[in-house]
Parts: sequence; C-alpha cells; structure tokens
Amino acid sequence: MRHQPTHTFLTPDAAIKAAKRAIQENGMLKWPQCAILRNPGVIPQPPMLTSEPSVEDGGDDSHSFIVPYGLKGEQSPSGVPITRLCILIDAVTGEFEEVATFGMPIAYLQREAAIRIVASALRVPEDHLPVTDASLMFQSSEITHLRVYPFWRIVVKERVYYVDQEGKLYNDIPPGKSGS
Amino acid sequence: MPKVDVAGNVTLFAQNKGFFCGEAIAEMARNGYPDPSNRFFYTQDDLRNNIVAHDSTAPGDLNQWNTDPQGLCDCLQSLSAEPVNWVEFPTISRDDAQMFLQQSIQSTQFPAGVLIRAGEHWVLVVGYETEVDETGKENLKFIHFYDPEPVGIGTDRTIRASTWSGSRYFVKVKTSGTWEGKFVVVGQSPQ
Repeated sequence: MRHQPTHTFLTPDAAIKAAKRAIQENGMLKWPQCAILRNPGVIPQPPMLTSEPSVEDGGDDSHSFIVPYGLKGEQSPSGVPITRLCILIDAVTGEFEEVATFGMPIAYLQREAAIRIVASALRVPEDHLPVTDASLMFQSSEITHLRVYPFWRIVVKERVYYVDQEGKLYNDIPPGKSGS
Repeated sequence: MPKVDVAGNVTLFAQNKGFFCGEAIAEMARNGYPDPSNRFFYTQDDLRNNIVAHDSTAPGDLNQWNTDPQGLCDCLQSLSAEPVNWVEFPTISRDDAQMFLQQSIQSTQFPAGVLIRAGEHWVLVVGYETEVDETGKENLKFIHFYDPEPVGIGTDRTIRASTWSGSRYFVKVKTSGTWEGKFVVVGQSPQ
C-alpha cells in the first residue's frame, strides 16, 4: 500500500545545502572514503527525491533526497552525469543519513529513459504512453537493498511497473531471499 | 571521538550475482585479515560451494537462505587457522550485538559480517565512530561498512547511528528458523 506524503519536503536547493552542511559538520573531507570530495572539480548534481514504504502497516513512508556528486563535465555516452558519491538527506528534516561512495562511477537511469523502457515493452510510442506518475522509490527486495540505488515506479493508467537502474522491468517488487 | 576503522586492510568487492552477497562478504573478509601475509583471495564461485557445504541443514532453515550465518562463519573458519576464530553472535539484544561488533573489530582489527534489513542482506562492517555525551557515556555516532551491492559495483557506506539502529537496518532477523528474532553478527571473538 502506498501512503500519501503528509510532510513538506525540502526543495532540491535546500537538499544540496543540507548535504554541504553534512560534509562540513561531520568533517567528511577528511574521511578516506570521501576523498573524491576534495577534488576541486567535484560538484553536486540534481538531487533525487526517493520514497521508501513503511516497514510497519499503516506507518508513514519515509522520503530522502539522494544528493549525487560527480566531476564537472563528466558524462556517460548518453549525456547523463557520472556519479561518484551520494549523500542521503532526510527530505523533511534535512538531517544527514548516509554517505555512499560507489566502487566504480555510475550513471543513474533518468526518468525519461525509464518511461522509454516501459513504452518499449508495451510497444507503445513513448509520447503516447499515458503515464500518471513516475517516481523513484526504494524497497528492500530482490531488486535492490541499497537506498542510494533506487528504482523507478511508473504508473500507466492504473497499472504499476518498476524499472531498476539497469533498465530491467518488473511487474511487482520481488521479495529477496534471506542472506542475499 | 574514538574512531576504529580497518577499511585500509580490506578491499571492496562487489557481488558478482544478485544472490551472492554472502560470497562477496566472505571474499572481502578473507582478503582483509590484519596480517598482510594471511590475506587470501578466493573467487565468489569457490566460496559459494564452501558456503553451501556449511549452511544449516536444520529443517526450519533449509531453502530459507542463500547464505546463512552458520554458512558464512564456518566457510571463513574452514579457510583459516588458529588463532583466527570466526564466531556467530546471534542475540536478542541489540546492545549486546552492537557491543560484540565494536569489541570484535576494535580488539582484533578484523572486519565483521552483519545481517541487515531483517536478515535479507549481508554487509561487512569495517569501522565505527563513537562520541561521549554530557554524562560521560560513549555512544555510537557512525558505522562504516562495505556493501557488495550494486552487483558488479559495490558501495562504501557510512551511516549515522540513529539510521543504523532504526527500523530498517540493524534489526532482528525475520526469517523463520534458527536465527529468527535475533540480531546477527559474524566476527572474530573479541580478545
């Protein structure tokens, strides 16, 4: 079950400010795992709002901003910014939750690309696909256990599709087997 | 602020397959012993067979796990010699599990495997930081671990203590069987 948000979220600019504050307040520039932040070419990329359903029935969804960081001008062949590190910020309070450095640079799947994958699977021209919602979500599952690696939830009319960061399409969210 | 971190000894390896998180944890742990001459690299496919050979065969555990705590612990011990002493530490007390985890890393300089998300996923804890409050009590501030996801990539993660101890990370195993209702750490017995 999906719950409607009951809080006001930070703006993307405020999320970036919260990430910068977390870097300063926690002394992350000195952390070896955050060494990339000392590179003068590192810049924040557009924050991504992500929802996570409550683990308890009737509980509120939690929302986070993923604030990605990468090197200025570094892009994938398709023009998507390359991300090296992410800072996860509570989307309501602005509190720091996590910093994650990927083992190798990644390019996040963009909203348009996720919709294109659904349209392609349905054999419908992309601009004719009646998408009513496309948002990033995280739920611990076979798809991912990593909050900074969420998947897309694409609603077409009343049917929901999920697209992971590798572009794989799902009809539902498969539960993961223990110890995976 | 006391800080313990053994990440410098341990190389981050990603899991090769979607269900190989336990194999990746074993790969990183066995290749991350404090004594550089005792670091050995095993492939995840080799470790898979070893883990399967050691996973629990108790009726309640069969087919429930890809890598269960016994499988991970006994796999690592089978590839080691004394005084290396891998142990499972399942407990119903979060405080006891957290204390074991910190003491294990601090006193032995070995990383430790921890089940997160109610038993769904293994991560390898490589460090932590504490802070002392106004009453003099030492509290966890950050936990630093290697996550073998995403497949083929892996992630170096540092999480604040309140997030780690919240309802989504270091929580009791929900899988029915031997470890149900317990926090689980696989580490070196503290010295």
